[in-house]
Order: sequence, then structure tokens, then C-alpha cells
Amino acid sequence: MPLFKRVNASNEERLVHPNHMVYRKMEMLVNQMLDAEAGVPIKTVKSFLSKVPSVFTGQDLIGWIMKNLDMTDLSDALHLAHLIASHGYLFQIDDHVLTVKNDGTFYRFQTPYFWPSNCWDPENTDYAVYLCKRTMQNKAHLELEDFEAENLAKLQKMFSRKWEFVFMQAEAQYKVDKKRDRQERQILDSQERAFWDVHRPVPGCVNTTEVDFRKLSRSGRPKYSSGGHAALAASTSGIGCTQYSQSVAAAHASLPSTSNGSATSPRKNDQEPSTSSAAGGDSPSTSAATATTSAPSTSTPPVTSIASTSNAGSFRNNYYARPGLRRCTQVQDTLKLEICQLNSRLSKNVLRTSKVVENYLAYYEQRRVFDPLLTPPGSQADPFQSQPNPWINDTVDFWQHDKITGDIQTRRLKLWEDSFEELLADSLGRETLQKFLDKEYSGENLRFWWEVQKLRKCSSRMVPVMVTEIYNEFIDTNAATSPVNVDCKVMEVTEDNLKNPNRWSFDEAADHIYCLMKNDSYQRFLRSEIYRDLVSTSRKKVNQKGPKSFLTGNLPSFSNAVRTNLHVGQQGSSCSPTSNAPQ
Amino acid sequence: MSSAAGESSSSSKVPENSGSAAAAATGSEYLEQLANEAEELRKKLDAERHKLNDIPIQQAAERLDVMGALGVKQRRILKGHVGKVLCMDWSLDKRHIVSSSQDGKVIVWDGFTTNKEHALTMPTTWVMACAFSPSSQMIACGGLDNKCSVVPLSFEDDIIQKKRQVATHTSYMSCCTFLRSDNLILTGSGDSTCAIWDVESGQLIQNFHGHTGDVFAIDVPKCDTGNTFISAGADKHSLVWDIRSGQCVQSFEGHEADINTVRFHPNGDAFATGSDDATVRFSMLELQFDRARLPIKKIRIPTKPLQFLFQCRLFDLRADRQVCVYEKESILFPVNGVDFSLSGRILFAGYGDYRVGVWDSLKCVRHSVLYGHENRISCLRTSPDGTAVCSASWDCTIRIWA
Repeated sequence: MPLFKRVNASNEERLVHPNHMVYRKMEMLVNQMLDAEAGVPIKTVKSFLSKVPSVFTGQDLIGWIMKNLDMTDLSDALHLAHLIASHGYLFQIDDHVLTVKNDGTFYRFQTPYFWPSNCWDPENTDYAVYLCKRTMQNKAHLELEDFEAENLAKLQKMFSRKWEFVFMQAEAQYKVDKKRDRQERQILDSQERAFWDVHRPVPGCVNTTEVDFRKLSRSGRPKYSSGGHAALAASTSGIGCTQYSQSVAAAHASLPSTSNGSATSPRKNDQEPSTSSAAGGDSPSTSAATATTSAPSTSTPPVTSIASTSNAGSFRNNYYARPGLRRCTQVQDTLKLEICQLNSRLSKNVLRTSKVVENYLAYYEQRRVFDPLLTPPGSQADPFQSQPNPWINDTVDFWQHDKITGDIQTRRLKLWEDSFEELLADSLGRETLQKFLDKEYSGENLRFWWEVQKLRKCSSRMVPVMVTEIYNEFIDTNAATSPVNVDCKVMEVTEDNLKNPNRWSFDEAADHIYCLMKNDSYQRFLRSEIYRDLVSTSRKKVNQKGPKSFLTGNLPSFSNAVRTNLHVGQQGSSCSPTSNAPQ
Repeated sequence: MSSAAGESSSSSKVPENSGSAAAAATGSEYLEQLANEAEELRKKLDAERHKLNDIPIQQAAERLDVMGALGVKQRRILKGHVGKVLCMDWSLDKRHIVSSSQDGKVIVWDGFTTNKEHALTMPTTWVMACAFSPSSQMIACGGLDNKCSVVPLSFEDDIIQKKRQVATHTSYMSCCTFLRSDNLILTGSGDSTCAIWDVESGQLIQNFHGHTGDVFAIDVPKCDTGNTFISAGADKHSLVWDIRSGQCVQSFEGHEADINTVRFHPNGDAFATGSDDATVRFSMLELQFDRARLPIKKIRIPTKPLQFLFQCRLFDLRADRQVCVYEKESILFPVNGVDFSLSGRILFAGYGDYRVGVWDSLKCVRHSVLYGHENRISCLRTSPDGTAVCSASWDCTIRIWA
């Protein structure tokens, strides 16, 4: 049953370290590297009088990675090796800094016991014992580094009361170590050192064991936003706190787990005589929070006589409500809702992949020249000959162009031509269009549309005022000062909406007007003198290559009007939230 | 909670009462039946959608020229945070940036000059979300305090005094954005809800229930006219919401782990998501299977030894399904930030492995990699005019690439 599997999977997930995904992937990789035949060649190297056991060189490692992961880029491989090292899966044998170089330096693998996935957050006392032990081993290569000595001093201060205890532990460990074979000790020492280099890194190094706070709280999920589905919540959440995030999980886990505990106890009592084994398994659940989930999720029918009912219970408990569904108090309602939604999705017409990709391609082709990263402004390929990218050339001309010259950039004008949305999103574009529409005696359309947009995003306090204003100015069939021309169907909907006025009451009417403008006025606008004048002025400027040559007197009169508007537009653009056209 | 106890205990009493037992049985059968029906429909839907995948996106985009060298390099570095930078947002003036960090600091930068213009300290650590208002006169931020606070920016007086709490959740706030104006704010939270708030009064205008796990990311399409937004999070689903009704209108699945980030394609019809991914669990099973099948001890190294699914996906609203997965073996780390270039061709992805991946979104290949950060990247955004990309990282820096 897929439903059941899903629940179990989520239970599993909640037990793990927030970084587990990364650890698992790395461990898979490291396991392959450790393979005796196909892995990285591990050898014992003789140097002077001593032997260096179980090491490999950086070159070997990088070579292995490039060969086995199909990498062509050396820096890519080096980066991956560095990451594996910084997570403590392998380390340079005599350096505290966990990194990998592509040369003959020797590296060693960490033992799985010390892998970060196994030991979550070692305590400071352990660190103190380890450092203390190091001071006992009278060996040059084991001498404490400066930062370690500092840490030891700090810890000694911190644990001043139980330092004796720390010291004794260190001594005991030291004695055990001493009995070990020399080479084995050498390896173990280095592995222990590397472990602490991961968990207490050298100052300036990245601590890879740090976790994202958001991922920490995963131990409490899945959570349900509405309290209505306590039964569901109880079954799916509530497994105990991982040792890791007790504080975080406590808040989430406490509620469901306690309720679950109390819920299972009476049932268990009923079953007890007949199912000793099942009850035995269940019994700790009342006391320990960690065991509670075992009750609902492992309630495989204990006895045939009550199999059906317990199945019902377990089904109910195990039912996993899919995200996106409104939750009802009854599971069956939720299910019905889901079926209904699935049916509606099935009946919907959706696009084929080829069609979808066609859309992306068309969009890309159209916008390619506007994309500063693909067509660097001012380069040979740029048809608009704009100012260069400000981030690259350290000039703000690209942003300031219109303000300096009083003209509208060609790219901005072209964008208006390419898309009606962009024209409306640009405050200056809107003003220009308004001028054109006023000339055509249909300016109320745009004004209405814009007022509705303002209404949609105004503060709650203003909603009633604005609704009335818009109604009086544009909609009221008898008394509107400048009525907009919407058909009766849309009018009906709008009137209906207005019985319960809110910020979305005029949406349908505005959409209608929008389509009218887009299909009719917009096309005429693009052919209009107003727009063409702007384009030709702007083109001239580009050809002259002289944005610096300021406006002369021989410009068309309209351009002057625009120029004055321009400055208003620049200031006004701050209030237009979507003015994303390059200015 | 008490209802849970009641329900279970009543079901436990059922065996004594045979009549109600029968009722419960039919009830459960009915439930099973419904569940099966839903499952069938889901399978059917999958099959239907699968049929529509007539050609892979790569093939459809074959006629495109390969993207040349982009010359994207690090252009600015903003230093000043002393904790991990968790979030950043561009101002619509294209040069200012707000960022928030783990130590509770929120800084407003002039990205162009790299000067700090405002700095304030929040009462809690882990300020996980921050946003610039469309007018650039205001910022919003919040995180572990479960609240979203709004601070008007001015040079006259101490801005922290003007801080106002607008939104309150019952768990941490993971993301926030202004909804097209300074008057409305949209927040997503660890309590698995999203909500729209009136900035002026702090009044809840609409809330959105439906996620079954923490919400990690939200995004609003650039286009002004729509009434939808998307959210995604720990339940591995991306949900499309109708702002007016508060209902989820579309849901997208496919990821196998938490979705960390979600971003609309500039055309507003598609969105990309980035996530951790649990696909590794399945590949591990396959691997063990391989070993078991081989009689000799020798382990066969497959030609493609490790199949890690990379974690960026592209979903299309009108196609109602996933269109593309941007995957590459050897990428082991979660994606914490994705964004498109202005034309939608380039997809930038900020990884937990300190790098920014530059993907050709149509040909589905990784174009290049940007090195520079020294710790996990937590957030990535393209500037409003597409001239630059900004990434925030746990190495306490913010870098601007162009």
C-alpha cells in the first residue's frame, strides 16, 4: 500500500540528522573509494626509518574522482575532494586544515566510526578529555597546536570543578592506547585528530557540521496547520525527539505524543488477554514518547477477531493527507475532495511538452536582446547600443540614461512594443498610453484599469473608499462620471461581487477592459504618431551616438511633453511596484 | 487532541458491540474504497500526463545555439555581517540590497558602492527572511521570533524605533515578500501556513492552509495582473494558491526531499524549484542489489557509477506537470537558491557546496560554475533588471556576479 509506505518513509526521515542527505551521498561515494579493487589505491609508504601506513596521494584521489564521476574539469574534482575532506571522510595525515591538493601529499580515510553521520554533536567534555590525553603523549607530532592549547585552557576553566574527572578519563584512555600496536596507534591518533578537526575546526575553517535551523525542526513534522485533524497528526508526528533537537522537537512532539499515548492505552488493555505479544510490544508506549508511533504504525492486525476494526483505525491513522488539500474533519470528506480534484485535473486540457518548450523558446527569442547577461548592453550584439552594464563598468549611466538625456531608451520602447504587460508595468509607458487614449476619447479604460490595480493592493483601510470611488466614477450605470464599456455579462458579475465588496470586486471588469485595450487600443498605440515619434527620436540619438548631446530645440513638441513627464515618471516609478523595465 | 483520544478509544470498545463493529467495518471499507479510487485516479493522471511528454525539452531546444561564454564574474563583495547570511532581497531601484543574518542583524546595502546604509539588530537570532518593499521605502524581516516586522527606511532618525510587527505565526517565519505594493505582505512559516497581511493594521487578510510541513519558500509572479502565488516546503510539494479564495488550485510533486527554494520563470507560467533530495535512498538500494546479484565478491563498477539526482526542477503551470529536471551526477549538495535570467534561458542555482551553478534551462546542461563563496550559499536572486545576480552565503558575505 503506497499510503502506508509513505508514512513510514516520513517517520524514517524524522530520525535523521539535518545534513543526512549530504552525508549519505558522500558515504556512498567514499564506500566506492574504499573498495579494495576499484577504489583509490591505498598503500604503506616508507619514509626514512619509519613507515606511513594506509595512505594515498592527492593525485590518486583526484584521478579516481575524475575517472569515476566522468568529470573533465580539474577544479570541479578538486572542489568535490575538498568537500569530502572538509566533512571529515578523508584527511591529510599531518595537517589540521581539511583540504585536498592535487599532488603527492599523503591522505588517509576516516574510519566509519568517526563519520559525521554517526556522531552527531560530540560534547565539550569529550573534547577536553581528548586534548588532555594529547598533552600526556610525549610526542612531537602530537603536540598541541596554538588554537588547541587555547581551547584546552578555556575548557579547563569551564570544567574546573570536574577537571580531575576529565584528567582521569584521559589517563585511562592513554593507557589503553599505549597497549596498541604502533602502526595501529598511528592511524588511530590521526583519525581521532581529524575527527576533532571536523567538529572543532581550526579557526578560519568552515565547520561543516553546522545545521540549518529550518532543517532541525523537521523532526516535528509533518505538522498540520488546522487542528481539525488531530487523529492524522497524532499518527504521523509524534515520534520522539532525536537527541539532536530535543528542544525544538519538544514543542511539536509533546502534544501528539501525549494524546497518542493516552489513546493507545485503553485499546491495549482491551487487547491484552488475547494478544500478549502485540501488547508487549505496545506497552512501553504509554511511558516513552519515542515508542508511541509504534502503536499506530505497526498495528498490523494482532488478532483476527478485531482485525477489521483495528485496520480501520490504522487506516485512519495512517492515512496521509496530501499537501494542497483542504482538510476536513472526516477523512472520507478529504478523500472525496481529493477525488474531485483529481477528476478536475484529468478533465483539464493541458499543454504538450513540445508546446510548452515552444513557449519558452519564443519567450527567450523575444527577450534575448533584453537580457543583459546574454546580450551585454553596449556590446556589438546589442541592437540598442545601451550604456554598459553598471556592475561591470562601474558607471551608472545604464540606469540613469533617461534621466540624463530626457529621452526614453530604445530598449525600453522596444519592450513596450513587445509586450502590453511591460508597457503597463512601466509607469512612463502607462502615462504615454494614457495620453494616446485621451486623444482617442477612451482614456477612462486605462484609468479604470489602473484604479482597480491600485484597489487590489491598497491597504485594508482604503478598500471601502476606493470601491465606492471606482463604482461612482466608472461602473454606476446611471450616474458614472466616465463609464467604462463592459458587456452585460461582466456587469452582472461585478454587480454580484459588489454585494460583498472587497479588493477583488472589479477584477472581472478590469480583465475585460484589459483585453479590450490589448486587442484594440494597444495595436493602434503602436502605430500612433506619439509612439513613432518617441522611437524615431530615440533612434536618432543612438545613431548620433550622442546621449551626451543634450536636447536641442528642434524636437517634436510631444517629446517635450514627454520629457517633463519623464521626470515625474522617474519619481513616480517608486510607487509603481512593477516598473521593472530598464530605465 | 482530545478528539484523537476519543476516536481511538471508541474504536477500541468496538469489539464488545457487534452492531457498531459492522458499521465501523463498512466505514473502513468505504474509506479504503475511496482511497483506492483516489489512487487509481492518480495513476491515471500520471499516465495521462506522461503521454503528453512527447519529446524531451532538450530535443525541442535542439535548434538553439549553444550559449557562449557569459563572462559572469564576481563584481562586488559585501562584507559586514558577522554571522551566516540567511536571506537577501533586491530593491526595485536595482542597486540596493537588504540582507539578514543568523546573529540577528539586518543590513541595507548600496550594492553598487558596497556601502552599508542602514543596520538594525533584531531581538532574536536566525533572521531567516527579509524583503524590500516595492517603493524601496521599507523593509520587512523576521525569523525565529515567529513575527514579520516592518521597518520604514529613513536617514533622519533611528529606524529601529519605527519597527512595527505586522504578522505573527505560530512557528518561525521562513520567507516573506511584499505583494506588489507596500500595503500587503505575504509570509510563509514553519507552522505550514502562508498568509497575507495588511501592513498598516497588521490585520490578517487571507491565510493559506494545505501544506503538511514547514513552508520554506514562496514566490509571486512578476506580472501584475494574476491572483496566484506559489509556495513550497518540507512536504516536497509546490502548491499554487488563489489569493482571493485562499484555496490551493494546483499542486506539483516530484521532489523527494524538502524544497528549499522556488522561483517563477519570467514568463509567469512556469517555476523552478531547488531542494535537498532523497533520491539517493533509491540509488543505494539499486547499488546493493547490484552487489547481491554478482556471485563473486568482486564489485562491478557500473559505467555510470553513481546516479545522484540533482535537485532543480522546472514545473509548468499550464502543462500541469514537471517539465524538466536539472540533474548532474557528482552534485551532492542541496540547492538553496534558484533564479532565472531576464530571458529565462539561464538558470542560476546556489548550492550547499559553496558554488553557483549556471544552467542552460532549455538545453538542460550545466553551462559553468561560479566559484567564490567559502561556505554554503543560502539565497540567490537575479537583480530586477537582470544585470546581475546576487548570492548570500554562510561565509558571512554577499557577492554580486555579473
